[in-house]
Amino acid sequence: MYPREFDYMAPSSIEEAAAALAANPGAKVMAGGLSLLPLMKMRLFSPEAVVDIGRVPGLDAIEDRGDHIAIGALVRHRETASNPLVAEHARALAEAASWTGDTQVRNRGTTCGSMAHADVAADQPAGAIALGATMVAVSSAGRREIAAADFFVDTLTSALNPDEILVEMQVPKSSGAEGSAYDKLGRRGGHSDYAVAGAAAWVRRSNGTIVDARVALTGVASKPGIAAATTAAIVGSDGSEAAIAAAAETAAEGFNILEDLYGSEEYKAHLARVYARRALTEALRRAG
Amino acid sequence: MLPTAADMPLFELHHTVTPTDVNPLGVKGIGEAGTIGSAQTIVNAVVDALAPLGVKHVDMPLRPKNVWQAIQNAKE
Repeated sequence: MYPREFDYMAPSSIEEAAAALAANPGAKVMAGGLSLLPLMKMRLFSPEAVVDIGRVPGLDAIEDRGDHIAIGALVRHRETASNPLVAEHARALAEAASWTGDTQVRNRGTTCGSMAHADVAADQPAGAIALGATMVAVSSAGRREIAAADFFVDTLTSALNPDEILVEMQVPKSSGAEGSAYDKLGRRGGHSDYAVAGAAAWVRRSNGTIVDARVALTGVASKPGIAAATTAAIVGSDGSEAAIAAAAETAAEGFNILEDLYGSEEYKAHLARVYARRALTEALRRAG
Repeated sequence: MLPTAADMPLFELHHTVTPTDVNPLGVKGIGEAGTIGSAQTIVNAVVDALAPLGVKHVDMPLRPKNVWQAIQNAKE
């Protein structure tokens, strides 16, 4: 299929891109295009204009900023999956990126693009939420920070305004006994394809006790989100196998689980519990 | 020059009838004979593996959700 006609703009700076969005209310931002272009070709979505940020310099780096790492809007999944800084401080995100799409998708699609697209079954949003990431949006009106936990609003809907560009995602650097992990069941089995259900966990230990944690689910509801009951149950515990199992048992609580082609409500709730347990177990092992 | 259907020579068609004795119908597979038994072999193996849980039957395709559901149904 060919998309409907649209205007194409390739600005050379973020300021220019923001101005182009402000001047064209029907415009959509494109980075890798891996999510946007298929929608346009199937004519499920026909923006009047596409603002391609692919030629904006300075957006393709993963930087160490002291207390956090910043993942630029043009950082590909492959880079997120293999970068040493991400591996050290945001392992859940690295794992999620390594299981996003296939090799071609990972070489072209971007981590921030996956966030902005907000697919209900995408992997990396769960990692971003569990790691307490911050999304940085820029428009001609200025710069705005949005917590990952508030960023995903509904199916294919993020908290970005139409005139805003997600320029980077910031992930706090780990300090001491912290660990994170992501695990999922893919639609084609194992880790292949979108998540039927997936869970990301982040934990911080101190003197044998879990002092802080976040567990996030993807694939089961209209948006990824924190498994609040599981998170509350694991904090303050000793992180034993029994404590993890008890916490994971509550993973599906608070989610409006949506049945789809790949699983019934009951099956998805079951997977939420299984993957919350696995992600927590691995995150705790990594926290040492 | 490539031969096409129009270049087929005339021929007579005969059948050979040699029933097999390894199944009750005496029938044999033709064409992709190797694929005929593979699906039920795998389904039977899965049913056999789940037999201790009380599962007696699983419908194809063996999607994870279908296998899980068969186990849940057997529990009831």
